[in-house]
Amino acid sequence: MKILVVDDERDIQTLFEQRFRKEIKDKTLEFAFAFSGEDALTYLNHPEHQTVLILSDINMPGMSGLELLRHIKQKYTAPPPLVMMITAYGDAENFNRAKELGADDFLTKPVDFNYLKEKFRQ
Amino acid sequence: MNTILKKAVVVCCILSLWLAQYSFAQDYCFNCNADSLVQVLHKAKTDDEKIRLLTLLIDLKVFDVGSGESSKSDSLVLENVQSLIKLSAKQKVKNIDAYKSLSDALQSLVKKNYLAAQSSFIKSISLFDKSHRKIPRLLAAVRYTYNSAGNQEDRLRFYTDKLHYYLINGPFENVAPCYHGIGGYYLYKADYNKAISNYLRAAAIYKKFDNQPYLNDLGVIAMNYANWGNNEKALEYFKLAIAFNRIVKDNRTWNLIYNSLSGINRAYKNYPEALLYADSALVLNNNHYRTFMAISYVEKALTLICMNRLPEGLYNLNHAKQIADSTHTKVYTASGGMEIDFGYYQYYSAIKKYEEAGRSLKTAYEKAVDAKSNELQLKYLRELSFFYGEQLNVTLATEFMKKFFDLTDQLNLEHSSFKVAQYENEEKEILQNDSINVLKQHTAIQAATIKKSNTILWGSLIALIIISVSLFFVFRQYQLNKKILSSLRKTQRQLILSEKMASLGELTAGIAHEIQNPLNFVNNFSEINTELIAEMKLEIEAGNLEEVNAIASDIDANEKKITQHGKRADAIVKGMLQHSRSSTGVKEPANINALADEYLRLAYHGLRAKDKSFNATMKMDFDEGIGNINIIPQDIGRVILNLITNAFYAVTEKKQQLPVGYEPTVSVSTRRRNGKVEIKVADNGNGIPQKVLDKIFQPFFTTKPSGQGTGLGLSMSYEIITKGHGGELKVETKEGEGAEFTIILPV
Repeated sequence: MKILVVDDERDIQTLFEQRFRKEIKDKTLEFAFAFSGEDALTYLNHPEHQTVLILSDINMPGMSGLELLRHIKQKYTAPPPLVMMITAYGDAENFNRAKELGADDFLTKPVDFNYLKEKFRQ
Repeated sequence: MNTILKKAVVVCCILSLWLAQYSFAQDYCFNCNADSLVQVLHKAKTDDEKIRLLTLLIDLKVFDVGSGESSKSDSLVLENVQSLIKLSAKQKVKNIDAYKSLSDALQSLVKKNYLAAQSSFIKSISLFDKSHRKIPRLLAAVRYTYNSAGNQEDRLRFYTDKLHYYLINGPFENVAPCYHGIGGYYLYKADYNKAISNYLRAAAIYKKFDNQPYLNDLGVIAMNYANWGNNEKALEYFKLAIAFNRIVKDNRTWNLIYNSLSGINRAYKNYPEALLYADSALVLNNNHYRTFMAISYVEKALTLICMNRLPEGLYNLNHAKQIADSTHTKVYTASGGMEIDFGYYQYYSAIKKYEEAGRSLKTAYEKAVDAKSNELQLKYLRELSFFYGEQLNVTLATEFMKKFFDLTDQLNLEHSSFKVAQYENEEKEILQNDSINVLKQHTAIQAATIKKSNTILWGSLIALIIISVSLFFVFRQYQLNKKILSSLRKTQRQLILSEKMASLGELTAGIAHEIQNPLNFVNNFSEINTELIAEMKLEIEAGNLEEVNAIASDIDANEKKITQHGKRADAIVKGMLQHSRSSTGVKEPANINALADEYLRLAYHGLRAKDKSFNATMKMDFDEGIGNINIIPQDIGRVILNLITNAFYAVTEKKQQLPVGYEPTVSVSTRRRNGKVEIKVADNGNGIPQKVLDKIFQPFFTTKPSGQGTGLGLSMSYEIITKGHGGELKVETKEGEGAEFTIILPV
């Protein structure tokens, strides 16, 4: 299962790689990283990206996570990847907006990786 | 030598006249020397000067016109008046119409048309009166026309009217000739009392401003006292006149005095002296004043007859008659009686030719009647009465006696027993009154001084009170102002604080996010390391050293991440503390790019914290070659934060207006250019309207809705850049297209 993580914090890559070390070793999970919304779209434009889940931060300079979400849900009608939004601000407005745009899940920082693992398993 | 002296005199005259021109507002010079004036006039170059000198000369010389003494002098005055009229064609001359009338009068005098002269004089005088000009000598000159035309009642009316006019309206100088003119009328009426009184008044006024007429009046007074029979008084005034004439040196008056003195000495039977005075008069006269000359000859003749030097007496009488006939002089003149026929009477009486004597005396009387001289008429009537009494002609004696009494009654003379002119008694009274007045004045002055002192005292008191009250109010105001000022300062401090808090508020959200992220990393990596260490222990037990090594490397890398993110959080907290602290004002080397980047993030996250839907494209273009520059980091950071916050605010505003098709963009760039560092913060918002552009750096100016902005952001930024760093803060904007702020800092 290929997961695309979008965040402007580059260290998120190390963190995910460490947190899902076993899963990566077992090849049960495969991670790709993008450091902005624009990068993410470029990656997704690749025909063989095989991404099934996107984990995106909302607050990023340039294209925000919500805009990325809108692009993804509008362009990739069949079959659209699941999008999970992650934000530092667990407010209702962002949550509702993300839901409106078709976000499949909504997580609040700091991310509970055990909970995330459960989600992936599902 | 003589010419040098003359030149010196002329120079002095010019100087004094020039000085007089600047010293006195009015152009009068009654005590000037006419001859000097003539000399100066010849050298006058400008028309203005000529006009001035001519005016002065006419003022002076008009005194003698019409006296019949010198027709040459009269025609010279006429010449002067005519030159003045000529000059008036190209230059404005004051009272020119009056001078034209004066010219008419003088021309009439030449034709011996005295009535015409009189009316022209009067016209001229009334024209001068319109400008209140001082014309005492002109007023005096008119009296001759009354003598010549014989309309003495008109004379009284004219001078009385003028006297009243000048007493009320001034100028005071014009009063003197009026008194003199009135005195002449009473002399004609043989009322010595009133005549001398008026002459004394005239003299008292003349004394103050015009020596020549004053001297003349002294002589006239003396002469009249002598004629009245008060020789002591006559001598008193002669002495005064002589003393004064030593200063004035007026030949005409000398003639008058010497002739009178001759008569007085004769009356005292002091014949040699009487003769000497008559001769002195003749020597002094030097053929100048012909009337006086004739009188002197008469005086001489009368004295000679008394001395029984009869042929000499007759010779002198004939000489006098010759002159009098040639000048058509009447028996009575302003210069004194011309008693030629009386002289013949005395001569014929002395040689006992009584028929001729009687005839001469009658002729004298008739001439006196013709000249309307009451004075001489009375003298001759009395003499005729005595003469015919001695001749035992009772009829004629009684007839002349009757005429004498008739005339006396008619004149209603008030003979003063002491023959002291009323004016002298009045003068004593006046003196007394004067001293009383002086006393009164002193009292009044004292009263006024006291009153003034009181006024000053009260005034000072009031002023003091006013000043005290003002001071009190000023003090109150000062205290009030001090209070207001301190409360304003307090408000200012609060405002600055609230601006700081506002920017802090903007920061907090950003800071929270910024700290949250590194803390998350620290926590996560720390947790991972705990897991990794547990795993490593298992691997060590399993003896899988390769795996142990890999895990150790990971732990090490994670530890580095933990430290890195810990430091990151630390820096943010430090920055936050720095921001809230007041500026230390200490410049230190700082990386402007890092600072810009940090505050851009803070601003962005701060806005995001407030407005979740907010988003904008951030473009960063940093010149990596700038290096560290000397700045006060927290101050510059505050400025950058401010500019970026404003930029975000602007783009957000526009995004709300244009939800579709507008990409909010804020770009921050740094450049090193011409030895200076430029930091640009640009947005593509609505821009700044031109009408507020020059206000944006003013304190408390804000376009944000009330409560949202303090209006201090940009003004503080401006202060920090210009005053704190000696740099520039510039703005460029296009309405609808955005704004670009540029910070230029010297390196």
